[in-house]
Amino acid sequence: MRKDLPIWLGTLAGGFVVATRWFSLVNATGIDRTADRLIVASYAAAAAVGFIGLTRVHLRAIEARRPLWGYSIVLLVAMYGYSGVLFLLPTSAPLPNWIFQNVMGPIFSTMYGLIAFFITSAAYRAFRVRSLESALLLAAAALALLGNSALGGRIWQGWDGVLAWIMAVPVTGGFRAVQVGAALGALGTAVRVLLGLERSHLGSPQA
Amino acid sequence: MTALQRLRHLDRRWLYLGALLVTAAGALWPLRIAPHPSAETRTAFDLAQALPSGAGVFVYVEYGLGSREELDPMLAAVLGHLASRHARIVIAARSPEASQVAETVMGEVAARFPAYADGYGGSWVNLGYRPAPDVALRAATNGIAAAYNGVDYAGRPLTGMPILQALPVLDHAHFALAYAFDSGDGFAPMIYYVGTPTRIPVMIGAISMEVPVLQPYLAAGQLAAVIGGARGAAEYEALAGQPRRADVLVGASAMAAVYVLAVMLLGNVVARLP
Repeated sequence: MRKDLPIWLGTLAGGFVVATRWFSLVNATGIDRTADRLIVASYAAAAAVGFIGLTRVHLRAIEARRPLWGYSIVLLVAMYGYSGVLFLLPTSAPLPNWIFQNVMGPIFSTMYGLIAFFITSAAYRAFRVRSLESALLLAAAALALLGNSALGGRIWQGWDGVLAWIMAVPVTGGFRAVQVGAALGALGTAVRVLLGLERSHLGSPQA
Repeated sequence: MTALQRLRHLDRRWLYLGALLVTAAGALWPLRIAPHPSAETRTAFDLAQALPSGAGVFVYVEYGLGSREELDPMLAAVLGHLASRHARIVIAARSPEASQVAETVMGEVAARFPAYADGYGGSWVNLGYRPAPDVALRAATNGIAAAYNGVDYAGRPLTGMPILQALPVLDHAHFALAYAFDSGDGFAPMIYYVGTPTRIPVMIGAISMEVPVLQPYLAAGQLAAVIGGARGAAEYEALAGQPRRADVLVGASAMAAVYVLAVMLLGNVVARLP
């Protein structure tokens, strides 16, 4: 029963969504809008579950004085503090806006900026020419780097044309293959879930 | 041991320091490189330039705070261009932070155009974010106000706003263009739920790293154009005569690209040493 009920629920919910997408007759009843409202409600419920789960995990870490438990306090203060501010004030009010621009903004920009350092390290250690394929990869990376930075077009006018060809032919072909493969894989998994054949999302077989 | 041989065991923190110095130099002493407009950016510009006065444009903002440096100048350039064409702009967001980013950028743009500074609800509106954003986007093709629960970003009622009386539904009859400014997978719902069923031409403003992912959609005609990264933003600013905010980024990224290339070459030379 612990497994059968979730499987049947998944099959019914998935079949319902498929029917609303594929058959206009179903939508004529307005049931697709009901489905939309249910999805929105499930998002809100998932956020609430996440909030509660995060609180429990970090409260336990603080109680047990686990390593780095101080960061758990920071997390809870930030989460409840900002939620409280947004509960009391509209998003457009000065205080939430100040927190957004001057606290969250620099933190996220710093996180994003760290990518530059990892790229540098990877360029030094990983981009080694060991075969014809890796030499081609290195050449394509160099062309794309200079072309995207606008410097290539300044050095040689044909550079932009070369970059456009790389994007239109090998890149398009490569990504199309990846995307078609991923879509077929997703479709296969979806069919397995709908038919109740896929059970890994329900936990281990012993559960 | 020669200096080159010592480089084999180079501490990566020296590489980090070099990256910091190069990007800081690029930001402090901008290298002004005016890029030649690419065909893609020109297509995006031409489509907006051809808009008749009062045309409806839907702008979907997906990116958050991490991508602001790269995408804010692009969003500002496009919104500024649309405002100069007297377009009616409906903005929506895919996350709570994106709605605040959109509000900030559009606020700066509106301050430059009197019709927009005093024209909230008439010339533009920010619908903000709703949970299950893909569902809201799809529902907007039946009715925008209902899809966004009848309130805008700040909780003001949408009922009575002239812009939504003129543009009640996200469809081809009301909207001439749609944009997504994206740093992740926000472009996909725009194609699935807006571009393909409604036939509204969709354009994407994306971070540089995402541009390759968009190429198949561009080749298939599912996207009208892609404006890519800081370079695309600088090209668009130049074409549309907007304030040049992206030039600094182009110069800094050019210097960073040269540094990364030099590091790649050095890594290969060092690897070949006996």
